Amino acid sequence: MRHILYLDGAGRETQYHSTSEERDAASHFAGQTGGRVYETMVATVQAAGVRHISKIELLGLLQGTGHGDANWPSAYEVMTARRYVEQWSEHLINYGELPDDADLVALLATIYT
Amino acid sequence: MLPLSCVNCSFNGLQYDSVGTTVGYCTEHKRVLNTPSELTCGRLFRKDLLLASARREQQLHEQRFTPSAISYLRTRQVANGASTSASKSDVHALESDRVALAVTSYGRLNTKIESLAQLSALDGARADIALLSLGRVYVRRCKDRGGRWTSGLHLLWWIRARLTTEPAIDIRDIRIETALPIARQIELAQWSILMLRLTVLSDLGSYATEEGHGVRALADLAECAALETRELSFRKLFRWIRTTGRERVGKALSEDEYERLSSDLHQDDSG
Repeated sequence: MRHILYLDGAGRETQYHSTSEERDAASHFAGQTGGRVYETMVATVQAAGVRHISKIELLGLLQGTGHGDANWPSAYEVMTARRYVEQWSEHLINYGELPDDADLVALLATIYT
Repeated sequence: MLPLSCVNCSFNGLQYDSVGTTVGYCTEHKRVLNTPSELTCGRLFRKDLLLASARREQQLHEQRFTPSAISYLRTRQVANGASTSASKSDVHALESDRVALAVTSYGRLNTKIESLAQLSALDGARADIALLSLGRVYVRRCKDRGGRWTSGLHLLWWIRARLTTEPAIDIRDIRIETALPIARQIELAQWSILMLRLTVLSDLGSYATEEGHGVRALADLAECAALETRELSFRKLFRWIRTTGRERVGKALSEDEYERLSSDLHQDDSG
């Protein structure tokens, strides 16, 4: 919930990356000045030992006051997060289960092109 | 980082979510925002969060971005002339639109409440967005300066008047491309605007709670609506508002009480 809603603001610590299955959405977030779109595939993410959370899974979690890791005190905020997921066709990549000594730089180079 | 951008800031009354004009307008910095989704400043007051969260996030944001200038979200550098404009010709270009005219007039010559009154008389989703966004920060500022919740009394009444009116979204008001079917896109935008109405009413309820007035019953209105409707469905939310929501708002502030408080306000103004 914190990640999808951008709570704690820019530069916040998060174990997730937001991705989109729609190039238009990714381009919109990349903006016109300085951003770029990176590509990956679910199979690539999974082969790198990283967990992919699909849009369908997210939409299932974001109901009522949220389920599982999406459990949250405010139903309003859960619904707002759900709106973002649907609108931007959002998927998450979760790095939280990696070992502490994982080489993230090398991992990201493997996942994204 | 769109939720942290000027598109999602209450000081920009021209855009919210997927609805609005191509450019934004910041009533704090008095500038046209040419690339609003890439811009921000330390005053960001998010439209998509309830009062307590919006306040907390504003304070955090202010630690990272200066409130005194519009900056790029990505680099935190002050935005250059290509991204914002204060030129009269750009502002005039916006003023051919009635909603944009009221928004760009907001705050000029101490006419904030007059601009809100103008917006309350306009139809359409964009008028809703402007009224709710600017009204929200108008009352917050009054409260921060020691005012009472009744600085939002007329705002509450105007929202009450349009509470059961379906937000009318013109297809030309959709400002972004997404892969969502257009009907669903419009439905999500309508849901967001209904929720923004309830959010502003909840703000007023929170302020009234501090002062012990009956409008405090509205403090959890938006949260209750989300909890009781459970689905991201405009129709379901609209039905809830026409039944439960309307009744709660009517009970929180009767017409007699509105007239009494309104009369008190005018006496304060002339005293």
